[in-house]
Amino acid sequence: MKRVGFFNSLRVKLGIITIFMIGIPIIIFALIYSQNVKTVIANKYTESAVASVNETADKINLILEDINKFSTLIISNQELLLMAENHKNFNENQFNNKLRSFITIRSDIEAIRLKIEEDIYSIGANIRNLDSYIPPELEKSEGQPIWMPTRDVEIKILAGNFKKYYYTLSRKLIDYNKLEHYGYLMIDLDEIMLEQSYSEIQGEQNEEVFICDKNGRIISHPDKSKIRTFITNKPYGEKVLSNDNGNLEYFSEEKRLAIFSTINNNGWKVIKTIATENLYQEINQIQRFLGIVGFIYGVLIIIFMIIFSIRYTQPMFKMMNIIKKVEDGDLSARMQIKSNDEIGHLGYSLNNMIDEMQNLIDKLLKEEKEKKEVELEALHAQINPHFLHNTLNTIKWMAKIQGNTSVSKAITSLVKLLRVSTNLSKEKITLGNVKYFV
Amino acid sequence: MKIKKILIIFMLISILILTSCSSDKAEQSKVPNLREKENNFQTLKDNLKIPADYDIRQFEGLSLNFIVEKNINANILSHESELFSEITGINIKIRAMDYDSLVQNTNLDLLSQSGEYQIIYVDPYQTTNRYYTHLVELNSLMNNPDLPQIKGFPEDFFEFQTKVTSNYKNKDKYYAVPFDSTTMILYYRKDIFEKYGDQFYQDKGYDWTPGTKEFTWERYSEIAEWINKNVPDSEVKYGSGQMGQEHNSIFCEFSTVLDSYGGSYFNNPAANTYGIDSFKNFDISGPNFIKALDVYKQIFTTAAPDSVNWNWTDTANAFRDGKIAMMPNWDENSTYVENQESNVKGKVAYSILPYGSRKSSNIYGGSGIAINKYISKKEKEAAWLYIVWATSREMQLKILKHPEGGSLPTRKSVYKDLEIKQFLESETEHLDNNISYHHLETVLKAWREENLYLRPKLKNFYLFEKVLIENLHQMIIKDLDSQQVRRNIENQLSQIN
Repeated sequence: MKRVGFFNSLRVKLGIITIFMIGIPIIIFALIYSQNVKTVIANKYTESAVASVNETADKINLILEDINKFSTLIISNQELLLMAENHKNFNENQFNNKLRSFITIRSDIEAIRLKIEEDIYSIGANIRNLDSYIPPELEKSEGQPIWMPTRDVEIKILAGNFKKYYYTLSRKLIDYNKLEHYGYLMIDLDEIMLEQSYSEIQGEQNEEVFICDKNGRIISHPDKSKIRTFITNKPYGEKVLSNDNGNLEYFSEEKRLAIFSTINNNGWKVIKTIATENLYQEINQIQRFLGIVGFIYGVLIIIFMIIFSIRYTQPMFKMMNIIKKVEDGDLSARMQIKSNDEIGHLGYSLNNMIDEMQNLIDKLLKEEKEKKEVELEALHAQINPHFLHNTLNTIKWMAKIQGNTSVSKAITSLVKLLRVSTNLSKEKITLGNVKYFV
Repeated sequence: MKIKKILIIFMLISILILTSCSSDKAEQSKVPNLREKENNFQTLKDNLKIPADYDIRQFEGLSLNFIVEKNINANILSHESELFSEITGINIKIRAMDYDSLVQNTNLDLLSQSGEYQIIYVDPYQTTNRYYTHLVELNSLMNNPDLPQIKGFPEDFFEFQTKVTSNYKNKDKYYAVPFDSTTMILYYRKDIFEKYGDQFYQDKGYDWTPGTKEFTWERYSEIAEWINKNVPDSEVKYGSGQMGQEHNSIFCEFSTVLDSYGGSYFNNPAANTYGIDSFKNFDISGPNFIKALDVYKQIFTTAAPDSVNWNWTDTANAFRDGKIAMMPNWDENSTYVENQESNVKGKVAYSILPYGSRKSSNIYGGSGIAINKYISKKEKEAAWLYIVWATSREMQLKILKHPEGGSLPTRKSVYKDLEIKQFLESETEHLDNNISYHHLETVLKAWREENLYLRPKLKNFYLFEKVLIENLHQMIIKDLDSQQVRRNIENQLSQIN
């Protein structure tokens, strides 16, 4: 039997098949997953995060619009307009009573202030450091609401003073019919209200959500020390301030993502920054899990294939040995059958075949032996008349020498008869010969 | 096993057959809808001037709030807008409200720059005059070749309506497209006038048919008084009803009387068309102003007593209920006055308003559609598409022919429609059944230059109007002297200035 080449080896072939059919697909799947599927899923995560920021912006928009409408309700109040037009005829108490009628219908407003010429009327929170300054933006406005940046105020409650952060809606008090300007209306709101509205999208760690205005000045932040600071020096500052919504990746000690959305009402931005590691935490976990599972699976498959190949090639090797023994003439070699599958059946067949061969060979040997014995017997049969013939010839010549012719002739005839007798099996005896011997 | 296999195969075949049948049905039901949509789309394309590569569904899903006066037009428009929404995918939310709420909400929205109402039904005397800088200057959209265009603007629109409704101060800048019109005309009970015509003639010696030059405001008052005395209350209680409420109504009504006697508020003709900013140069010093005040006061002495507290809606209700025989009112109320639920259905006739010493003055009060400046570009373009559609000839004709009726169209070409033409030429009597057409001839007569009255359009009209309203109302409820009333008005206006 020839020796099998390395690459022709069944086990090697099985190994190659295992690599091509299982190993490579797993690697390709892993690569595709890493390259595309992960990107797609990661994009979905980003989109989801963007959507949550947009929703928060919409929610805050509704809050601000509601305040806007409330301010419109105030500036369209004919009684207030009349008082403002003739404010010299009304005292502070009358103005405060009027403003009180507005603040009592809402629970989210801290204070309402009215500035008419140099007089300031205020109802609600007792603000210690009241500021009468009217910023140019408000001064130049045409009656539309102007949202002022958050500022810290000192509120007096009983005997104590408390620090709070207020953002303010301000607008000119203009009679929408007469288009006459009487003063300024200011509605103060607690910054906490904004913080509560975005707290839902605030993650536990390494995440930051806040609101800034069109100029990048922070309006609301969980870390109050950052209020009124600017985001313009941040890596995402420029893009955030020049776009309505979107997201961008940047590096700040780690890879991070800034997601932002603009509040339609006043152009403020809701910004969320998050480490991409945090954002994609789940997907990375899934990826790791799949990697481990894939690796274990691959190892198990290889082990299984080895066992499988050994289990299924071992009987073949045994068969090869048996065949080799048979080839060497050992017809006593037999397969030990352990399984009832195709390999087992093959073993049975091989054993049967060897049995048949054994029988055939035995039969042939027996026949050959018998044939030889017959030939030997025939030879023996041939050898005995020859010696008898020689002896008779000797006697004939002795008789002839002694002159006993009749004896000599009788012996000659006997010899001839003997010859004919011994040649009966070889040739036909002619009728002449029979007559002669007779 | 075999039975089981056969059952499974049978079930699978059944499911396949059912699925194919149901999908066929769905397809079948979709086909007519698609065809209908395609037809509607084609009709829209044919009727509007739409650029070839314009994607009519580019604004699909967008919602636009249209603030509009709660009138029959708004009702018709809300029905018709469904078709527009179906074709374009733009959701039009019609916010209909009474006139005063409309003006207040519109003006506050514009003042606040909140852009809550993208499309605005603008009154030129209450909104465009004060807030034109808050409206989109439509020239930018009209001159954009990539956008649909209004076929026949401005030439197909009545010139006086465009001047009043679309422009402010500058004739080349358009802030609104005329959408509807309303004109004050005289409503009267033709059954009463026919029944008592001879009796009146015998008593007074003249024909009382409204619409003639002899039918003056003085005679109007005289006729009202005669009806009060001679016509049983079971038929009609009062001869006339007026609008004496401290409201824009009294200003409009008095202004028609004033103009008919040759009086005016300003000597500047531009004040009555394109508009002016200030009323500093008001002039009510002429004798005609006093005459008008006297006549107006006289009218109230013979009118239904409640008239001093009525505005145009109250007066229309009184007429509809059969309480008054005559009233000046906006023509847009005619279908309301004459509809199935009305007590005076089939008993109403129309004429131009009574004459003064100079003319019959029929005040015009149409409105336009404008776009809020404080909305996104996309919303502006979608709103423009809606305006192009709503002011198209076909849409205007639809409103006119609508069974519910509406105000008269602002496009000239609508009146060239065969059916309308035949009606106007009295060739088709059956069209009398359409109550929308009853006042048509009268309004077209009122729009003639010699009968038309355009009130002043001022930026600070509110203050001007307020002074007049207060003083006119006081005059009629307190029977004040006309000279004194004029002095009061002059003084108050001077003080404001």
